[in-house]
Amino acid sequence: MSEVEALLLREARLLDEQRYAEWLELFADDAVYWIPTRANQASPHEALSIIYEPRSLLAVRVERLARGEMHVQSPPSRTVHHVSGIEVAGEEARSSLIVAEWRAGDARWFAARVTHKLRREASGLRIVLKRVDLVDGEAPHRAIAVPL
Amino acid sequence: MHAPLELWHRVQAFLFQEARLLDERRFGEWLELYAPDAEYWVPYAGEQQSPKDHVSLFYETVQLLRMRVDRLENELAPLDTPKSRVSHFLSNVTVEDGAELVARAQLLYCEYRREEQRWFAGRSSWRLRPEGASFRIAAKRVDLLNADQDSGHLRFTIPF
Amino acid sequence: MIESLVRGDAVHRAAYVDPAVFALEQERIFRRAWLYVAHESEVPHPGDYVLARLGPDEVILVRREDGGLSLLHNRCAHRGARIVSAPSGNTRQLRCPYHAWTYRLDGSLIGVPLAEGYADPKSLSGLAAVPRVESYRGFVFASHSAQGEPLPQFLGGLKSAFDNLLDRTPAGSVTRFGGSLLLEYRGNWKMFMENAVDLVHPGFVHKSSVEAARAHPEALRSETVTQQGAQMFLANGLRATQWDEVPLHAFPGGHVYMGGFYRQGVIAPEREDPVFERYREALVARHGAEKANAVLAVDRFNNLVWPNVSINARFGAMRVVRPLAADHTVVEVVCFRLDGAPAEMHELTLQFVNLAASPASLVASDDLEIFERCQRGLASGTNEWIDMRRGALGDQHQADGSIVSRGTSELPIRHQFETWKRWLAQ
Repeated sequence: MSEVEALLLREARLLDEQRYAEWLELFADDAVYWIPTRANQASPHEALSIIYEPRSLLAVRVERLARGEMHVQSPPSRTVHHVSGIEVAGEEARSSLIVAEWRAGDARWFAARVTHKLRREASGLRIVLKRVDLVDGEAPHRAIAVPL
Repeated sequence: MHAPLELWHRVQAFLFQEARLLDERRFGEWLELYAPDAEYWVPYAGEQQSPKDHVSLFYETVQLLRMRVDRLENELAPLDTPKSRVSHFLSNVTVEDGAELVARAQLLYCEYRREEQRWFAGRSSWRLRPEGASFRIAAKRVDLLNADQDSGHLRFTIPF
Repeated sequence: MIESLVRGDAVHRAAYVDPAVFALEQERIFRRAWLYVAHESEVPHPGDYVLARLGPDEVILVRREDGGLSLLHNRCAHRGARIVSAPSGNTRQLRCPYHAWTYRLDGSLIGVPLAEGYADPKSLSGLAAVPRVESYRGFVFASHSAQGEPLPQFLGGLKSAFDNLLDRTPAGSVTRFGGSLLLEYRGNWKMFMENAVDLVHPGFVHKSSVEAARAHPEALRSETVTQQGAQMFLANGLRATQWDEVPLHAFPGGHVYMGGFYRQGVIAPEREDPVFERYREALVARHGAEKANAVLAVDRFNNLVWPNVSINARFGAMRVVRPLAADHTVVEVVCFRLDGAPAEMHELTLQFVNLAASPASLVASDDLEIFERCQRGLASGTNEWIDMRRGALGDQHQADGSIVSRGTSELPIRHQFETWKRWLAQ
């Protein structure tokens, strides 16, 4: 397994194990986490996004998750991030993602194509951009509290 | 005979590429992956041995597939307006080596269309012919878990 | 019967959970009142159309060749098929995909195949048109009912929200942009409209995002989108006495607005930065300094247009609440570009809406969770009545018929239910 594949699988596991602080460490200081609403959306300035957050704001999101005192995570979600179809080209990885989420008696499924842009830094390989293109980004969604 | 690791890796990359071309609606490039005499078959019944003795959901030649995808690109096709979006998920990829390679994978397929999300699960298998560093698909078969489900099922847009 | 569900100081839980009450709301409110459909900038050219909802029905808003607007039911007059499937587009005529009945942009029938099979093909119907369609400064509203008061009268005291939005544009117009976000929750539609002007819940419901932002003071010195987010999260952490200073205004017709509470940084009404300075100059060029200052000084936050619209003029955002069932609601969030303003302002608008109103927002996600908990709780009949008396002693009736109260009052909920009762009773 290549280093890139290992990184993507580790990322998925950290999210499933709710180790959000460690998950955040995978992101470079100038990284962006993005879930657009539209297919082929070129920029966050052209249309609304479900999430468009630089790492500094992602840190606030992770802080909130870590404190555990949020209504939308009481009780918390359990998730399985299923990563498949990883294709690596240089410092970019594309993959398919299914997230099965179970919370408070309800199950739901997310399906997406994911693009990771990566960069080699002194501390190892880090994520510069994670872009999650949901198959149904324009659809109505109930609250999304756990990162995909 | 199980394929050596390097071959397995190349086949898997090829299958992932096929899935992505469908997800990205790049149907022309998708069909390029198929040999001119290829067959694409989605049986109706799980235990179906042949496409000749029972109805199938799909049993198509490359020429028929080309018409199918041309229609998806036609703005007038009522079935696919607005355009549906799909994600293919392949896992548990195995490859058997031989004159023609046989690849198998688990398939999950999620479709979003007109504010509705649908999921299909199944097993896909391919017969592949090596061609240079890559492959051509000689046959693809998709056994859906719920192929014989009664309702809400008979409209398919993007191939599996 | 309906009158007995609202007592002035309390409302019966059936208003939220009973499917029969929901059906009556659909008939008497959503089939009669003026409802927001779309913005004229979505159909600028002849032949442009968009699909929209009008109460329970799907409708097509079309720009005709003569420049006027038609609002047609998206249902073929022949076998009932949906005529248009694409969410928007441009067309010279409307043609059914089933048997090719073809209509003009005003809905009248052009022709049908095999017309000789009919004794009198001229008697065949065109597409059904919605009886009343009016635009208020580009915002298109419609009513399923042929009778009723004109739109400006219906909008009443909340016309000012649209006026302020238009006044804020250097070019005098707004343009819809940026697509939309759709939030879904398993709860009653009225909860969203009540919560949007409830200034007691932020301190409790949004505590987790307030505290997370307080733990990251460096976010306030980070890039603009992060500053914007952190300031927004922190603003929900005002003390009760500070919330009390945010005024609430209720107007005849069920409309309500609340004052502003963002006092700092890039989300303050009169912030200081080079982009905003350029914008202010453009606005002064349109209005003169005195009026431009007055326009910008309006720092209202949510403006609620009865029954289902919430506008935020300062952030160019609007939410439309779509009831699907007594316990199922979808909220559509859309944005408007202030024509003539610097492009960076539009980016801020999108970012604000991403942060404040997305289903993944640190703020909105907790609201959705609370609506679902209320709905589940209200399903139990232990206590039939929901109290709404808080702050009633402070209601101040104004000469123009409006009522003003302090921010922590439940005036908006009482006021919305008074209006609700009136519409349902007749």
